[in-house]
Amino acid sequence: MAAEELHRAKAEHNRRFLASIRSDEFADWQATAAFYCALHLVEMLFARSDGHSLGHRDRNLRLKRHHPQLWRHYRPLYSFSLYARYETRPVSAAVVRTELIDKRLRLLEHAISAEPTAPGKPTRRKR
Amino acid sequence: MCGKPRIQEGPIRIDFRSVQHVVVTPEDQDRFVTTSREAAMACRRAEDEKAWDEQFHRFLAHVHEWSGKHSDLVSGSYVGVSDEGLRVFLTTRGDGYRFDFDDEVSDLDLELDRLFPNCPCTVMHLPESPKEALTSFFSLADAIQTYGR
Repeated sequence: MAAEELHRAKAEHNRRFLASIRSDEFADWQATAAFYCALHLVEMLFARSDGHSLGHRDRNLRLKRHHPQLWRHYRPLYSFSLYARYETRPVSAAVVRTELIDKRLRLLEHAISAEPTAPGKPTRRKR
Repeated sequence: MCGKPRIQEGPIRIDFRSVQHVVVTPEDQDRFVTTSREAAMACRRAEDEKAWDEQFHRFLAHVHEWSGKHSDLVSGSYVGVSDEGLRVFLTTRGDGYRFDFDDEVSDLDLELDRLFPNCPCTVMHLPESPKEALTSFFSLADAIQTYGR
């Protein structure tokens, strides 16, 4: 399977995990799963052109310099997932759902699906 | 055991006499130089040390000015060095995480990258907390406080 497809599959896997977290007790992990879903969507996009990122720093720089509109949705996911993992005060599940999952992640998904693919590369999986 | 004792454990405090002129108090000078060197290494683009140093000072001044302009929401700002490079931490007033501030923070993040390409960083915001609680996110002893008390 090509790298793009591997990252798409991982993003979808993370999306399914996110949907499986029913308890509001784990909003911090919902935020984390949402971020890793976003990360693999970004890597899926990069796989179409320049290939893998070397890490968060490289990925963040490439996003903000080449895809600033995607960065505007990705940065809040990146930033809040870090906050949610290290903050000791509880995180609101309702806000994670509305602000991160239903807003930022969804906007990022739509924006990436609208990105042009590299010449000669398929846009979608074979059905 | 023979290491140089730390003068203080809080963040490095600097004054901004003007946008171009960052003043480091004498007792913090050594820590500031050390932290700046770590920041330069984190940026990995510091081929010309003097030019980088000048850009880093303007970067700090820009974060200071931006924080002041957003003082209705921002109570403090810090620049730290993480495994992933420079991080700017903005503390926001109130207890809750300010999702409504995300777009403005993203604008600052993009602006810093455009103006100071040799100082790549990521900007985060957090609700204000006692300084001890901030250590979950960055080392206060190695951070530079650019705004707030």
